[in-house]
Amino acid sequence: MSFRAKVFLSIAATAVLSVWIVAAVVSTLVTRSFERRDAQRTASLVNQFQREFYRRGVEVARRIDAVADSDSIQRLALNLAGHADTSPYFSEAQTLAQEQSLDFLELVGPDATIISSAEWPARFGYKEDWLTATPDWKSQGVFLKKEDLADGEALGLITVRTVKAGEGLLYVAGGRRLDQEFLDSLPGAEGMRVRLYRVPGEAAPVDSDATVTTLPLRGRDNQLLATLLIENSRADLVALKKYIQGTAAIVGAAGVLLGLLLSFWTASRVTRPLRSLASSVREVAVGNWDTRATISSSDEIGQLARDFNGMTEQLVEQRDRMIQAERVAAWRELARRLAHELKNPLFPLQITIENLQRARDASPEQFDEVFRESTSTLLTELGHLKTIIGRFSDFAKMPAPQLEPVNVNQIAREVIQLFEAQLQAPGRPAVKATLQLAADAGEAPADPEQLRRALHNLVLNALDAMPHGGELVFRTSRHDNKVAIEISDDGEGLTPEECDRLFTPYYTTKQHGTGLGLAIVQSVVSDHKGTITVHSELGKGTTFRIELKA
Amino acid sequence: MKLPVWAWLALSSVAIPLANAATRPHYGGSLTVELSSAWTTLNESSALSIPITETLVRLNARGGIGPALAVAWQHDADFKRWRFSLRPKVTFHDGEPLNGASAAPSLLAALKKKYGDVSIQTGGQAIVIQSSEAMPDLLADLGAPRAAVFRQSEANPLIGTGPFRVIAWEPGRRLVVAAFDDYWGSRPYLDSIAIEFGSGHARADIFDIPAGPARRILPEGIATWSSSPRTLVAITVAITAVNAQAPGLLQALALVIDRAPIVNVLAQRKGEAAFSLLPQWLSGYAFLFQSAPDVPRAKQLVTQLQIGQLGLGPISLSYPANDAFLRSVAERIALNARDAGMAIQPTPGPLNNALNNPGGTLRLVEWQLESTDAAAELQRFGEPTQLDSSKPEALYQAERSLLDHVIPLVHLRETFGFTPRVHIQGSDPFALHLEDAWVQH
Amino acid sequence: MLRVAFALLFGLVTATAQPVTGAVTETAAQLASRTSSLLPRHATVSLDLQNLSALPAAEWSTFRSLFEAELRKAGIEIAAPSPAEPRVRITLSDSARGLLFVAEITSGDSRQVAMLPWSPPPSAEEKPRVTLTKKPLWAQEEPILDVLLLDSNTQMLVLNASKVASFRLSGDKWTGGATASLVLPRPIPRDPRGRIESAPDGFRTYLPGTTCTGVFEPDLKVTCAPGNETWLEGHVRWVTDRNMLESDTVKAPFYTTAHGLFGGADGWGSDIAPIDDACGGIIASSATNNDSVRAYTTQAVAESDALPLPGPVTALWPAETHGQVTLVVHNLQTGEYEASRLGLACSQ
Repeated sequence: MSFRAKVFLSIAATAVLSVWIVAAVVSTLVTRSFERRDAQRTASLVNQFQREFYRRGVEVARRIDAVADSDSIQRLALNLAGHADTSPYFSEAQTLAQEQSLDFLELVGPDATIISSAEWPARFGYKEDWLTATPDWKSQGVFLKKEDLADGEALGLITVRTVKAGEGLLYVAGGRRLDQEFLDSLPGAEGMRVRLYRVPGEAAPVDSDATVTTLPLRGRDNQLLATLLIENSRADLVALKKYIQGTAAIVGAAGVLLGLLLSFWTASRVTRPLRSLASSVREVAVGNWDTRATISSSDEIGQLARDFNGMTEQLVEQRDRMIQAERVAAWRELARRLAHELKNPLFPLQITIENLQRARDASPEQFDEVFRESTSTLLTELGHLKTIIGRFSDFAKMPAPQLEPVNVNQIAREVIQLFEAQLQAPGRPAVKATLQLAADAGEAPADPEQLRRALHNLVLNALDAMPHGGELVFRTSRHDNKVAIEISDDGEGLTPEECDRLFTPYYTTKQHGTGLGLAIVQSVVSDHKGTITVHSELGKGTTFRIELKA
Repeated sequence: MKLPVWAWLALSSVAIPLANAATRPHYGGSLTVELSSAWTTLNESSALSIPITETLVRLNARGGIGPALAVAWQHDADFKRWRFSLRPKVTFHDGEPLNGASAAPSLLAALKKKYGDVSIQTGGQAIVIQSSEAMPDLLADLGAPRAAVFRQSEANPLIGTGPFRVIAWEPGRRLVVAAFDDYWGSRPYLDSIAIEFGSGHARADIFDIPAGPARRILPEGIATWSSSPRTLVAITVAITAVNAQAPGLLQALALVIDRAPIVNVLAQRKGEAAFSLLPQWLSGYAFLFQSAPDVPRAKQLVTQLQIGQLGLGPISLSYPANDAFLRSVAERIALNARDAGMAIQPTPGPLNNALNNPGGTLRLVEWQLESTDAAAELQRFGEPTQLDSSKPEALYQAERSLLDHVIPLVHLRETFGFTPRVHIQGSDPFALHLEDAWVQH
Repeated sequence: MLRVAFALLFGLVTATAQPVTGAVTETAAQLASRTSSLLPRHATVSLDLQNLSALPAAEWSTFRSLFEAELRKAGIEIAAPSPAEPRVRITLSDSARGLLFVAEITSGDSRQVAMLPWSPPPSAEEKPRVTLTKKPLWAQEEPILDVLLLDSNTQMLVLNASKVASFRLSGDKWTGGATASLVLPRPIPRDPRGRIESAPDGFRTYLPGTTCTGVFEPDLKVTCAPGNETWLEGHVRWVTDRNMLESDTVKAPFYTTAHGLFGGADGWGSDIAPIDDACGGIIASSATNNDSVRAYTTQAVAESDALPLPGPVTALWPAETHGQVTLVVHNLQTGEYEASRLGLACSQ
C-alpha cells in the first residue's frame, strides 16, 4: 500500500469514526428522550382508560336502575308476587335491553329461574344460582363477569339490581359488553391501541414497534378474567428515529465523503513531495543520476529533498570522476594492451629490418635472400599488426545492438553448427558438444548477430580451455523473466583471481589471441542489459553464464 | 234425527265468543284481512277459508263424504270405473256452465299425479273416471283441495265455482275477492274481501296473530279465534345410507327436548306439545306417543354414538331465515341439546317445508294440515301405502314408522283477531269460513 | 236410482270402518274381547282407565263398570299394579271421526295397542226452563222458516228452504204427510228466511225473490214464480237474494218489523214480532250471546223476564192464531231447528 493510501486511509478512518460516534450519541439521546416521553404518554393513557372504564360502569349502573324502575319490571314483579304466569314476559328483556342500549339483560325470578334473557333468549327457564347466592347486591356495584352466550363467551361490565316481588326478589342483571368494539369506542390517543385478551390466553401478536402495557381485569372474586393490552405505537418514534438516522446517515455520509475528499487532498498534498522524491529516487535507481528532487517546502520533506539533491550531485560527480578515471584507466589499459600487442609484431619487424640492414652491409650477396626472407617476415608481421588493429577497430566499431526477439535455442544450435567441423577436426582431440536446451527458453530481445558473436567467442574460449578434448555443454534455461545461456567446458578451470580479471580487455590466459574476445562478450552482454558471470573450478571446468532480460 | 253428542260437544268446546248470536246477518260490506305470512298460490292451506273453488265431494264433520259439485256417484266392484253426476245449474265465475267438459281438465290434471293412466270421459253433467288400477280412495282424493274444479284464462288465474271470485291477485302481496252472486249455494253475505300479506299493521278487520310472543298490543274490543291445532312444527333429518348416525341422533335429540317451555313460553300457549304427526283431536291416539325428556339417557346415547359432540364440530339445524318464532325454537333446542353434550348450531336457511330432507343436517319445518282426513294427511307426510281413515290402528302403525325421521315438537293453533264489526256464522274448529262471515255497518 | 246408489255407496264406504254405534254395554263387551285377545289366557293385569274425551262423567263411570265386568267375564283377573304383571290402560279420546277407544297392553318393554272407534248414543235433552209460555211444535234438522197451523190446529205446514211439509196431528204427535218441493228460480240466500201465510185458495209462501202459491187439493202442490209480493197485511216484501225486508213506507231495508217499529241490529236484538195480547205488544229476541225472548210493550218497555233459549232465534213471526208468535230456534246442542209457539201468560 502506498504511503499516500495509508495517509488517506488513516485520515479517512478518523473522519468516519468521528462522524459515527457523533451519530451514535445523537441517536441514543433521541431514543432515550422519546422513550421517556412515550412512557409518560402511556401512563397518562392508562389513567384515562381507567377513568373511562369507571365512567362506563357508572353509566351501566344507571341504565340498569332505569330498567329496574320501569313499568314493565314493576308489572312483572307484581305478577311474580301473585304467582302468575311469567311466560308472556319471555321477550321483555330484549325490549328493555334495546331501549337502554344494553348488551346483556336478564330478568331472573326469586327461585333463580331466568324469566327472560336478552343475550340468550332461548335460556328462559334455566337457573342463575349466582344471583341468589349473594344476599346484598347493592354493595357489589359494577363488576366484570364472563357471560355465557349461544356462540361462546363474552366479557361484560355487569351490575345487579333487585326489585321486591312479593316475598321474594326479582333480579335485574345486565350491562355492557366488554369487547373490542367497546374498547375502540373509548377515547384514546392516536397510535394507541387497546386490545382485550380473554383468559385462558390466546396468543397475542404484538406489533414489534410498540410498547405494551398490560392491565389485568379481575372479576368479583378477584379471579383473572381477561387482560387488557395497551399498545402504544412507537411508529412515530420509530419514524422520527428513522428520519434522524436517515438524516444523520446522509449528513454522516456527506461528512465522510467530505472527510474522504479532504483526506485524499491532504494525503496528496502531504505525500506529493515524498512521491516526487520517491520518483526522483527511482530515476536515480534506473540510472538517471541527474535527477533533481523538487523542493516544495522548508520542512523535513524539503530538507530531505535538499539532501537528496546533494546526494545525487555527489553521485553524479563521483560517477563522472569514476567514468573519467575509468576512461583514463581504460585508455591506460588500451594503451598498455596496444603497446603489448604492437610490441610483439613490431619487435620482429625491427629485427627483420635490422637484419636487412646488416645483411646489406655485411653480406650483400645474401642480401637478396635475406631481403626475401625479411620482406616475407615483414609482411607476415604487418599482417599480424593489421589483424590486431582490425580487432581493435572491430571492438571500437561495435554498434548498438538492434534488439529483436531472438530464439536463443536457435542461436545456440546455429553457433554449435558453425563449430561442428572444428569440434571433430582430425588431428585434434575430440570435443563433444552437448546441447541442453530448455524447451521453454523461448525468445529474448537481442541483436542476433552480436549475440552469435558473443557466443562464438565463448565457445572459442571453451575450446581453447580443452586442448586435450572434453565436453562442451551448451545450456539454455528460462526463469524469472530472464533467459540464461550457459556454456560449460570441462577444461583446466580458472582460479578466482583469474575469474575476476577475466573480462578485463586484454586479459588472456591464452597464448594467442588479443584477449578481446571476452571483452567483446561482456560488451555485448552489457549492451543487452544482461549480466555475465563465470564459475570455475580448477581442474574441473568453467561455466560462463549469460543472463538476458526476456 | 239428532247428531251424536260428541260432535257438538267437541265443537262447543271451541266456543266462538265473538258471534253475536242474536243479531241477524247483514248482507253487504267489505272485509279487510291482514296476514303476516304471504300466500304465493291461490290455494294455500290456511285456517282462514276463502273458497274460490270447490271439489266434487266434501269431507263432512264426521269424516264421511258428502256431495259438493257432484251430487251422486257410483263405481264398479273393482273401483276402477266411477261415474259422477254433476250438480245442475252451477256456473263458473265467468258464466261458463259447469258440466263434464268444463270440469274434466282440472280433475284429470289432479288425478294424474296419483293414478298414472287415469282417463275421464264426459257427457253432459256426467263424468266417468277410469283407470287400470283400482281407485278405492278416489272419493278422498276428489275431496282434497288439490282436486278442486277450476279453469284458467289469461285474465284470470283461477276461475272456480265457489262463493268468491278473484278480482285482483298479486302473489305474495294482495288478494281481492268478491262475492259470486250466482253461487249455487247462495251468495255470501260479504260483497268483497281484501287480503293484504305481510304488512303487519293489524288495522284490518281480521288479522292473524302468529305464534310467538305478542309483539303488538291488541286494541280494545278485539276478539280472537283460534283453530284446533293444525300446524306441526317438527325437526326432520334424512335417513340415508351415508348418514348412519341419523337414527341415534334423532333418538338422543328426542330424549333431550323439553317441549313445555316451547309451548308455554315461545308459542305463548297457542298450541300443544306434539309427540306425533297428527294432533290428538284428529287421530285420537296421539297420546300414545307421549314421552318425557330423559337427559341422562340422552347423554349415554351421545357418548355411545359420539354424535355431534362439543368439540367435534356442530350439527346444523336450519330454520327459515325470516321466521323469528322458528329461530327461537331452534335456539331453545340447541340449548337443550347442549345439556346432553350435543353441539347443535341453528342456521338460517331458505324456506323449505318439505318433510323429505335429502341433506344430512337437521331442519326445522312447519307443516300445515290441509284437511281433517287423517289418512290423506299421513299420505301427504310421505306414507307410501294406501290408508283408510276409518282404521285407526293402521294409521297408528303408519305414523309410527313415519316418526323414524321426524321429531314433532308443537301443534300450533292458528289464531286470528277480529274487530267487533266482524261476525261469523257457524263454527268449525278447523277453519274459519269467510263465506259465512258478515260485517256490521 | 241415483239416490239409492248414493245410499248404498255411503253404506259401503262406512261398512269396513264400522264404529260401534249402540249401547255402552255392547261397546264395553267388544273392547273387553279385543283386549283379552291380546293377553294370555287367565292373565292377571293391572287396569287403568282414563277419559280424555268430552263424554260426561256419568256415562264414563257406567262404561268403566261394564268394561271391568266384561274383562272378568273373559277370564282376565284385575289386580293392583305390580312390576311382574301386564298393565292395561284404556283411554277414550276424541278424534275427527268420533270417539276412539285405545287399549294399551304393556308387559316389560313390549307394548301392544288396539283401537276401537265409537259413536255413543245421544244423551238426554236438557229441557230449558221457561217462563213465558212456549209450546213446542216441531223440530227437524233442516232449517224451519215458518210454521202455519190450519184446520183448527190439526194441520201444520212447515216451510223449509226447499219444500213445504204438511203434518197432521194424531193424538199429540204430528205425523208427516205430503211434501211439496219449492222450485226456486233463484238460490235461497244464506240465512234463509221465509214466510208462510194462509190464503183463500190454500196458502202462500214468501221467500226472497220467489213467491209461491200452494194448494191442498187434490194433492199438496206449490207453484212458484219469481217476484217479491207483499205480505204481512200488505206492508212488507222481501229483497231478492237477501234476507232483508223492504217497505214502501220505509227508506232503508230492515230485518224485522212490528207495530210500526222496524228492527235494525242494535239494542232490540234482531227479531221482533207483534203479539196481539192484552198484556203485551211485542216479543223480541235479545242481543246477548245466547238468545232469549222477552215481551215488551209497544213503547218498547220490557214486560216479562227473558226466556232463555238453547240457541239463536232464526225466525220470529206473528202466528195465524191470535196472541201467538211462531218462534224457530236453532238448538246449538242438538243442531236441530225447533219451532214453537210463544204465548204470553198475563199473570199480573
